[in-house]
Amino acid sequence: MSTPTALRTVMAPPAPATAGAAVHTAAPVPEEAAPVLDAEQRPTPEQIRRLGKSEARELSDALFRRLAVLEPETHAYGYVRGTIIELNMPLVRFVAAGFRHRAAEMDDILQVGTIGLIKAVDGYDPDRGVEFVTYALPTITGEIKRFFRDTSWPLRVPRSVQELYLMTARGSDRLEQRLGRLPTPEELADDLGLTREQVAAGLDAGRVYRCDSLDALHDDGTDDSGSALLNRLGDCDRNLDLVVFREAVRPLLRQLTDRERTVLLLRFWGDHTQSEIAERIGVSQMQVSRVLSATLARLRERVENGETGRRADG
Amino acid sequence: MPVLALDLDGRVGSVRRARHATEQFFAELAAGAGPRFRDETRGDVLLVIAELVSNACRHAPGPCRLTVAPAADGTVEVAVEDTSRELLATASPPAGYGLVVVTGLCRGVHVLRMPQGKIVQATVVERRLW
Repeated sequence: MSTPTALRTVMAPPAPATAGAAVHTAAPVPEEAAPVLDAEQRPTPEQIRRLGKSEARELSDALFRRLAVLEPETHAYGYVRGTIIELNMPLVRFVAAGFRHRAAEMDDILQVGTIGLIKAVDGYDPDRGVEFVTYALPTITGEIKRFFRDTSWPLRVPRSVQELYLMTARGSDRLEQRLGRLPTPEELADDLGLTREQVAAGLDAGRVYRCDSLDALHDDGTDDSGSALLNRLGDCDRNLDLVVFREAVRPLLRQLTDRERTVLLLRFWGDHTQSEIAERIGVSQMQVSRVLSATLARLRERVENGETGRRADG
Repeated sequence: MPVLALDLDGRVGSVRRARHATEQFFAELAAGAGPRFRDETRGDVLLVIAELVSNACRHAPGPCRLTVAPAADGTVEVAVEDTSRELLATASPPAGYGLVVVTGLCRGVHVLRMPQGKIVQATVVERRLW
């Protein structure tokens, strides 16, 4: 097992919630031929989810050609653009997964990632001959990185206080909408179920935060897009390989036995040691080791042979 | 502090005009007394403007009016007044990404109902807080 790290990344699920679901799914959902879609017709979210990678890409390309001749003031533009965004949402989840370890809510990361995707959709020119994925990945990554840069604190503020700040700031916005005026600290405390001291700490932290914001005015253009984009393009190929690799492994995983799948899940998603897995499924550590190496070797061989795992269904 | 106010006919070309005028406005500010905004902030403002103006063109009949008001603290308040009294609704997918953009990039999105329409107002912040 020379490359456990690579495989581990490849098999990491988009969100921890799916890991559990995968273990308990008895029968894999059969891969049916995707219905024929054209850019004139609006696919349902269900259809989008069932599209294969290359079909999604083809549809996305067709939609870009259509978008190019539409005016932004029309409903059609909104729908076509929205469909492109939805088709490419897996890119956001893929990039966001790489930031999982950072101290931030996954929802926040996904949201800024989505904005990155929208910027990529708006800025993409299909006539340049660059694939959308190639263009979008660095844009999405850049937007998420920017989010982390922007949410880094100029002074060392304890995590708990940072959280209080975010809670009070968001709560304040929400209450302001409801009341039509700025809420008092007491109202904010009541609304959020916090003590007055906690609200005060949160609001104070906001003042600390904003001292950085003034600095930002003097800092012009250090992060210009020109060279930065070039730098980022270098990253992108590795990510693309991962996308391909992951897509290649996914159907093969469905062909494993329940036990093989469980062992892989526990080892690479659950991060359990072989002994822990052995205890959990009631076999010896040696057996776990054998199952692991045999399964990984077989997966590797199949990926290298270019087996997609689909023909088993047809 | 100078403010940009732009009347648009609500027809095809409105979004393009709004973006152009705003870019020019930023350029004039930078060349004059300021304030100067980062490329990123200007990009965010243009994106928010495109969303708000196209929303007005799609959902409200007739003209709309765009106001862009920068503040010394690095925020930019953007407002679009249109002729529909219908408040913003979350559209069903795959539309509705405009609102994702606006709520994602702005602090405090307000909708004010007016006698003959509404004003959607949002403040783009120089640094993203959330």
